[in-house]
Amino acid sequence: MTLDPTADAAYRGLVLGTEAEASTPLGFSVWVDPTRFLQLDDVVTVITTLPDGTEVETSGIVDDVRTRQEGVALTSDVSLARDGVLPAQQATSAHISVTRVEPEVYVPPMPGQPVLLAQGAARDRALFFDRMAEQFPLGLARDGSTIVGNLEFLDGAKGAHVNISGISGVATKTSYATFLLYALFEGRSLGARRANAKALIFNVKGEDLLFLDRPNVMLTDEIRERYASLGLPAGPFGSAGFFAPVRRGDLPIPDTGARQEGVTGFFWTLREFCEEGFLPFLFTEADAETSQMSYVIDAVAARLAAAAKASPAGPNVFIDDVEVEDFDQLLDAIDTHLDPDSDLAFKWAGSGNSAAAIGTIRAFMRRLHGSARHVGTLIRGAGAASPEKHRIGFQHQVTVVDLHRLHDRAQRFVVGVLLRRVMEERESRPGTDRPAPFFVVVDELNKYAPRTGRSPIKDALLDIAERGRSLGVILIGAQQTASEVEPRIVANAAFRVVGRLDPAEAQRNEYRYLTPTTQKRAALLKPGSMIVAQPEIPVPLLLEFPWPAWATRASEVAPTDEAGEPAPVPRLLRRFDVGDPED
Amino acid sequence: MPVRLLPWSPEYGTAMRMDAAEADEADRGDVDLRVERDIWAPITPGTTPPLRVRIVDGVRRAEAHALDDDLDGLPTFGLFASYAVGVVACEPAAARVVDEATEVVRQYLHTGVGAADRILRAGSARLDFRARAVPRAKSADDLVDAMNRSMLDAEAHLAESLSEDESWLTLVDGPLRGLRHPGRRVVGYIKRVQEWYVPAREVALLPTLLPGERTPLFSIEAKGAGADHLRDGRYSWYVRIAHIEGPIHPLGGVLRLECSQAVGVEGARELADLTATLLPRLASSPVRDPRAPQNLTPTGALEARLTHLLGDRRLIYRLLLTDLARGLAE
Repeated sequence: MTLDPTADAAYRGLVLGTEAEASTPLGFSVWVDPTRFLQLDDVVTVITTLPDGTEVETSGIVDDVRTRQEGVALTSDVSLARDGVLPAQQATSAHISVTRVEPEVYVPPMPGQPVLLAQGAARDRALFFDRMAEQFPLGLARDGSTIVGNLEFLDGAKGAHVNISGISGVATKTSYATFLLYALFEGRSLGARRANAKALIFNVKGEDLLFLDRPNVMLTDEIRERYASLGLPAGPFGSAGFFAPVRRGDLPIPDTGARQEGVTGFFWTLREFCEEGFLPFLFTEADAETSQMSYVIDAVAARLAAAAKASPAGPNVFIDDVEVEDFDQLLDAIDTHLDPDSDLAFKWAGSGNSAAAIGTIRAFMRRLHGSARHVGTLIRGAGAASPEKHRIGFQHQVTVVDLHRLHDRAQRFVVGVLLRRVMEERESRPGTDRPAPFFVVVDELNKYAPRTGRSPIKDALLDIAERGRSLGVILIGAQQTASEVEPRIVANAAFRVVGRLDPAEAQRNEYRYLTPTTQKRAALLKPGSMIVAQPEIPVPLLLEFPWPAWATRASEVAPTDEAGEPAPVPRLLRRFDVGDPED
Repeated sequence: MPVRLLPWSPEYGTAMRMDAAEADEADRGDVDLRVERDIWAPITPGTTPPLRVRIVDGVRRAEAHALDDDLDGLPTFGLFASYAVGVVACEPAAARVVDEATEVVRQYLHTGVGAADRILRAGSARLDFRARAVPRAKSADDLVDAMNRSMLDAEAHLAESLSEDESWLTLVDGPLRGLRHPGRRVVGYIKRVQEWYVPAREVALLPTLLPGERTPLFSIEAKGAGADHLRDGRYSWYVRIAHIEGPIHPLGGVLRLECSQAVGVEGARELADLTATLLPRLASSPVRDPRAPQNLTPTGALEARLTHLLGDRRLIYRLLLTDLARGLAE
C-alpha cells in the first residue's frame, strides 16, 4: 500500500488494540476517525499482512458503537467538561463482528490497520453474496443496498422453509411473507421455474390479503425506487385467486366483507369429505389425541371412505343404501352406527370385547357435533351449486384462502385439509430434480403446531417441515413466539426472521442465533424492518422491505373506471393471469 | 488555634512545603501593603468575566539511574529522564489540551563527559535520550534537580511564547522569575505557600476569606539581579479558591498569586479580580485529585495527559535494559 489509506473515501478508522478492546480473529474494535462515522450494520473490511506477505481480508459487520469522553473519570466530570474546566476528548469506537476471513487464516487484524467501509464487491464478499450462485432479494439494508438470500436454501436444493417471529400488529410478519412471495414471483430469481411456482396463503386476520391483485394507490415514486433497487417491478401480484368459505344458506356466496367480486365461495362435497378422509380434521384440538379416541376416529373415517367408494357417482354418498344429502344427515348416520344402545347390527366402534368404551363414543359424538356446528356449512351435498366451481384450485400463482370470518375449529379444518392436499398432490407427481416450489404461508403456528400435544394439523405441518424440502413444498411459517411452536418445525427453517419481538421472548433459547445486540434491537424494530438469519451468513442482518405495492385494504385499491372495471394493470404484471375462475 | 490537617495526600508533600523554586525567596525586598488601598480587608470583584485562560504545566519522570566510568576510570552518575510540558486552554464548553504546544523531551543527564545519545526503538516509535553533561553536578540528586530545572525552563519558555497572545490570561505554575520577556497578562500561582510576605496581623485575614474574595494587592520590591520584567518588583495577592472547614486547616484553600509591576496597579487589579473569580471555578475536588484544591482541575487533566505522553514507565525501563544488554553483548 503506497497510497495513504486514510485518504480513501471509504476509510473509517483504525483497528484498536487496547486491553479493553483487543483485536481478536472473530471480533475487533475500530477507533472511528472523528471526521467519519460508522453505524450499526455497516460492513467493513481490513487487510492484515502476515509475516510471509500473505494478505488476509477480514470482513465484518458493525454490531455496536460506543462514544466516550476520554480524560474523565467521574460521573460529574461531564459537567466540568461542558464548563470548559476539564479537557475531555470524545472518542468513538465501533465493534465489528467478523463474518468472513479470506483466505481462512484466523489471525486478529493488527492494531493500527486502516478499516475501510466495504462497498460493492467487498461487501458482497463480506456477506457471502459472492458465493450464492442463485439469489433472491430479502430486502434493503438501511444504506439502500440490496440484501439477498441464497435461493438454494429456500427452494429445497440445500435447505428450505422460512420461519418468522414477532409481535402481532407491529412485526409485519404476513407483510414480509407476502413481500418474499412477490419478490420470487414478480422478480427474476426463479428463472424458468417461476411460471410453475405457486403459493397458498391463509388469510386469518383482517382482509389485508384480499387485494393482492390490485395496485396500491398509496404507491409513491420513492417506494417505486425501492422496488427498482431490488430489481422488482412495483405493482400487484400478477396472478392471484381468492377463496372464502360459503355463507350459510343454499346460495354459495363467499363470506367476506370488503370484497365480493373476484372471490370464490368454497365448499367440499360429502363425497370428498368421506372419500378423502377429512373426518380427523374435525378433531384438531391437541388434546383430542387419546388412543381410544383416535381409534374411534380412524374406524369411522374408514367406514365413511368405504361407503363413499361404493356409492354411485355424484356429490352425495350412500350409507347402507340410504342416500345422505347433507352434513346433518351424515351426522345422523354416524350417530346411528355408533350408538351402543342401537339394535342395528353394524357397530362402527367395534363389537364385543373390542368395542370402544361408551364414554369414548360419547366423547367422540360430543366433539363431532361441536365441530359440525361450525364446519357443517362447508360440506354440501348434491343440492348445492356445481361443486367444481366452488372447489379451491391452485390455478393461480397465489391462492388466498380467507379464513378470518370462520370459527377457530373451522379454520383448523380448512387448514388441515388443504395442507394435506398440497402434500398429496406433490407426492403424486413424477419426481423432478428441482421442482418449482410451492409455498405455504401459515400464520399462528403456535396454534396449529404447538410445542406440546399432537393433532392432525401438527402432523401435516411436521410432514411439510421434514419432507417438504424434497417435494418442493416450502413452509413460510409465522408466529408471535417461536418458543411456543414445535421445535422441529422452527429448527427445519433455513431462514429465520424476526420482526419486533417482546423483550422477554427475545431472551429465549429459540433466538440464540441473534447476537446480544440484535436481541436488543429486535425489541425496537419498526414495522417494515426485520432481522434475517440465513445459513451462510454468521450474523443476522437487519433489513427493510418496501411498502406493499399491492393494496392491503379496500381504501388502498386504485380507483376503477366508469365501467366498474379496475384501472388497467400493466400487461407485464398480468402475465400469469389465467382468467377469473368465478365464470 | 487547634491542630488541623493540610489538604494534600502525604505522598505529595504538603501545600506548605518549601519548593525548590521558592527557595531563593529569601533575597526579597521590602513589602508595601498599601499599593492598592489603605485598608487590609477582603475585596469581592464585581463581575464574573467569561472563562478564557491558558494554564502551563509540566511533568517529569526519572526513568532510571545509571552509573558509568569517566576517562580516568572514576564512576560518574547518570539519569535517564523524561519530561513533558504543555498547556490546557479553558474556554466555555471547550477545555482542551493544546496538542500543538505539547513537547516531550528525553535526556540522559550525567556527571561525566562525552557520553553518547541513547536511541531506543519500540515498533515505529523512537525514543531519543540525548546525552547532556550537567556541570557541577556531583550526585544523583543533583541530576534530579537538573531535570526539574530543565522542565521548569521549558515551562517558562512555553508560557512566555503563549503570553504574547494577550487575549488569554496565562497562568504559570510557580513564581514568574523564570520568564524573561512575557506578555502583560501572565500570572504566577504559587500552590506551595511557604513565605507569607505579609506580617502576622495581615495573615490573620486569610482564613476568613470566602471563595471568590481576594486580599488587596501588595508589592514586593526587587532586590539583587532578577529577570528584566521584574526589575521594578512584583504585585502579589491572595485568593481563596475553595471553601474549607472542619479538620482541614482553612489556609489549605488559599493561593498566592503574582504578576510583574510592569503592568501597573490598574493592570494588576484587573488580573487580581480575574483570578479571584476564575480560580474557584477551576479548583479541584478532593475526590478527583489528591492535591485538591490547589492543583486545579484542568492542570490535573493536563498532567494526566502529559504523563500519558511520557509513555509506559515499565515498557521504557525494559527497553533501556534490553538496549544496554545489547550493548554489553557487542
